[in-house]
Amino acid sequence: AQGAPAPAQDEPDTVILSDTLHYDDVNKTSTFTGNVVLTRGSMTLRGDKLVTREDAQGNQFGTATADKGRVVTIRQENPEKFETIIATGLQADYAGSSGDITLTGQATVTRQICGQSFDNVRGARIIYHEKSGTYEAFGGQNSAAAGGRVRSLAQPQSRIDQAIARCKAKKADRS
Amino acid sequence: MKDRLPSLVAVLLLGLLVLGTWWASDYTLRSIEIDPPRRVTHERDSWSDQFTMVRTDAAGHAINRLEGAAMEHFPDTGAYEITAPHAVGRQPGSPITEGTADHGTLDEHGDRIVLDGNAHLKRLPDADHQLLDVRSTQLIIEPNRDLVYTDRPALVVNGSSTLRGKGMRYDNRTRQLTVTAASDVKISGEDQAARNAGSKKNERP
Repeated sequence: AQGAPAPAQDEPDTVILSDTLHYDDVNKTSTFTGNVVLTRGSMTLRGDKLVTREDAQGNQFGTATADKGRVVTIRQENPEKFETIIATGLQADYAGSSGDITLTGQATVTRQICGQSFDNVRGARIIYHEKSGTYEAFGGQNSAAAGGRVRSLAQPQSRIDQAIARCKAKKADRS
Repeated sequence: MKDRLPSLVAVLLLGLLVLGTWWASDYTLRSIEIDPPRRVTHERDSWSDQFTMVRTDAAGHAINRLEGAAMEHFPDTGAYEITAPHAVGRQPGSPITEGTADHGTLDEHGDRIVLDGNAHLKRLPDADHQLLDVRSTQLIIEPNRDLVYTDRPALVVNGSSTLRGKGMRYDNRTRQLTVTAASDVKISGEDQAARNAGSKKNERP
């Protein structure tokens, strides 16, 4: 007999705050403008405009942009590892089907441990593959690194482990 | 000349008589109001209980239905004040909308219904869309344009997702919703997961 349908995976709610919203129920697109803050689980995105749409399969897609002189900022908190990923760029695109986040224009991704920056990637375009937890960085015009190239800084794991240990100790003192 | 005097006097008297009659009738018309102007005060001039009002389009299809516990018409504003209004919109090609409230005012020659107090509008679900539910302290419906709007804080529920905002406008013809300030949207994870599960089921061979 046919097995019971797989229960819907537990998806976090997505909360979006903005000054104004225009929702097109026919094309299933929403345009959020003005101080846009999107929160989804432990990820927070801030920008000036966010356009979301949904494809026929129900996957969500989003494009966030920033006004002139500002950038889109994405923060992903990982409390267990005391880690925070901060990504910035002139535009950020999220594809629900693949789970990828693409930063375009002055793109940077920084890994912080307990507020202290360690690893850092700069380029013209950076793709974060959520499912595999990997990054791809591309140089080109409007790169955040000099000469239109990709610049990547990776600290030794030992230093990161020390920082984590200090963090745990500090936390233990406090509790 | 002497023999003409009597006829002249007679003509003169006749003239006086005609003038007098005309003046008397004119005076009478002016002094007594035959058709007094309508009483334009805020006193109801027509009312009814448990009423139903149906409006059809040119083809005779019922496009708007308005019911209520009581209705009163006031000559000075030309508006109908309605208790417990229940407005149904059934424009061809658009989903059905249902609006209720504690009190309603039908004015602008029936082109506008102001729902006050627990104003609640539902766009009924159809094959493609879930129920859309709008609540506010006041909602204004323009039935002919199939339009609902408010400048008050409002809450919209669509499936398990919610949308709050201050100032909202929903056009049922084009199905466009605009929030003019302080938009706060929560897209439910359940809805998202259900949609994804649904789409994966469709993808399976």
